[in-house]
Amino acid sequence: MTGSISRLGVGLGALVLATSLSAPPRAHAAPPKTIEFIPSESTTPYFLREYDGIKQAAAKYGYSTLFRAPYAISDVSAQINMTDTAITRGVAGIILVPSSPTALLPPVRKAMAKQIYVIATDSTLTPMNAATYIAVPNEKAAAAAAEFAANAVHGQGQYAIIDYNLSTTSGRQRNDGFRAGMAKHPGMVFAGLQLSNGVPQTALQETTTLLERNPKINVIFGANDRSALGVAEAVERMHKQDQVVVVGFDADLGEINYIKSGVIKASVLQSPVLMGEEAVEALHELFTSPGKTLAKDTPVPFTLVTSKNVGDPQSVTAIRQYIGDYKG
Amino acid sequence: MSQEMSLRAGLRSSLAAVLNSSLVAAVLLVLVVGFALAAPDFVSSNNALTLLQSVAVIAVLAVGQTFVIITAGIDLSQGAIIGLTGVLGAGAMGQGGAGGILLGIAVALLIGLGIGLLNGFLVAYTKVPAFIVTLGTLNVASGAGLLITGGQPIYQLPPAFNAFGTGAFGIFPDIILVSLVLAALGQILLSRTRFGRCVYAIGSNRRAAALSGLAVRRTTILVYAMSGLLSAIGGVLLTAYVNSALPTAGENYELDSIAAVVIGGGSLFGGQGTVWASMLGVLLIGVLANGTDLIGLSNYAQTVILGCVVIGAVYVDSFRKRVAV
Repeated sequence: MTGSISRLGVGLGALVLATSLSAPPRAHAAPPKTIEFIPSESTTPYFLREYDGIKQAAAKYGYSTLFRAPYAISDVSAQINMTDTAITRGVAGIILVPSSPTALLPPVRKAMAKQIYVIATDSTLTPMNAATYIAVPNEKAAAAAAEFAANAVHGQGQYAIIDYNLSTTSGRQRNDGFRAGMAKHPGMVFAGLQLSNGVPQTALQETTTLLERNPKINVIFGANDRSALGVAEAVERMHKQDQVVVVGFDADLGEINYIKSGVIKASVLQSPVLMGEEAVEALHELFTSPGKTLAKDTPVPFTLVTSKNVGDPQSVTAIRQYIGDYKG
Repeated sequence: MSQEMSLRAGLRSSLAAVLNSSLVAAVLLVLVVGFALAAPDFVSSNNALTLLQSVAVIAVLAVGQTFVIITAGIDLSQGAIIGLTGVLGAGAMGQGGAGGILLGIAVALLIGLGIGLLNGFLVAYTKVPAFIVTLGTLNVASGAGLLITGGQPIYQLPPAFNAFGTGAFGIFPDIILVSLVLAALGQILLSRTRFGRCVYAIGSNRRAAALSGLAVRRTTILVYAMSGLLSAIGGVLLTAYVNSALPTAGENYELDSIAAVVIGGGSLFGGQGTVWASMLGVLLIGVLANGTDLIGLSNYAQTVILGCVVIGAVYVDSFRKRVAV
């Protein structure tokens, strides 16, 4: 009996010992600088691609990288703790996607005070206390998607938005930008906003309900890859691809296939790999010139990929930012 | 004869409890030493405070969950109560000064208490299992939070409120102190009062407790009300800490509090557990998350390890049951 308990204790002890032994050695004279990437969610493909960009650029300068992220975007407290732990770990720089514009301020200020440079990407901080903010201009990009959709329905109809959340600045800016774009078309009436929390199944159910309740909706905007995927699936299942113009933001292979088949008429593609690379470049600049002040905003370009231009070289290049081995 | 048997059973139960708590404490010690060797920063005072801060809200929830689990119940609504009370409290606070902050806190606590009372009433007076009752209120509370806010977070909170959430009394962050005080009060209530003994009696044998003339229904209602109130306190602490309120902020927190109680030796079959052992469980979760993070273990591996520890703890619980028979 006690033997079983001992075995459990010994097992856990061995686990710790094993992890201790597998941990990187610390006592070398000049360990490589470590950059930690802390996005707001651990399973979003977009952030995994951004991390690919971070790793590529970091390898160029010999920096090591770490990836930490909460499982749910709503777990703001976990992201604060992860940022605090990164400071304790003594990393040289942090690339952050803040899950809240204000909640992450204390650890960001703490890091910056210790000369652990923080670069905000994708979502910003209020006030912007990080060294720089690298992102696509979300409002402008969402407005471009709105313009495309409104033109596709000749400026007449009703539109709905499936946003992934309104807690990040990117989620809010895409919602604001899309509505601002639609406001230029007086014939377009706002029919509702739902939140998918980045879950395709939720977006699918919400879209189905929206379309069943209001058949006059002829434009739906899925504000990120997961949301747009769910919207497209719902529209296809309801055989409404000819009546409803689906526009999205970001892309994965599923979405690209929907763009090719015409279910998604257009999607704003960002540059996640480039965003990661630029964040490392910014950190490298700060590592080599400590105290240097960077521009507060570093915009990253976006591309509107449509079902008509999806095969163009420019679109293929944009898609490769999301799917590295995409052949077209 | 029966007195002798009862004494023997009591001794076995105490022995099992001590055995389990000692095991958790020993595992905790092994982990601390292991992590300290692997990552010297682990034992820095800064990191210790970060670690404690990261589990402060879970600790408050675990106090309530301990009482509930000892009665052989479960409270799945804790995380949803955090979200709902957070947004309602923050909404009531507005930009007001001390008056606004107190109003917001009062609103949050009343809502939490109300949901807890509802849970308790339904568990005590209907045949619906606690799992289903609290699953229902989880959905009601999380849906209500989203409905009221439209899914939007509330950011503009009074600066003094955030100053409390991120402030410290001496070197100890405020939210850690609050959770320590609540844990101490919870342990005293459980081990030193008639109410506490009644909680154990209900969990050991509800029917026998009722036949002995104990106020089973009233105690059950109070236990769930307490869990609701503590969840609301958790909501207030979390809102102050992250300086914003989000309807989904407490998602899955109830799972961590249940895990902490189980790791600490609380039996899902009722009748066993202490607040201080649950606090050891909370610490174990915090140490595992923080330590594995510091030594550079992947996020995903951390969750696998935590899952294994919970299964290990339940194994010890069932093993202990066999010893007691």
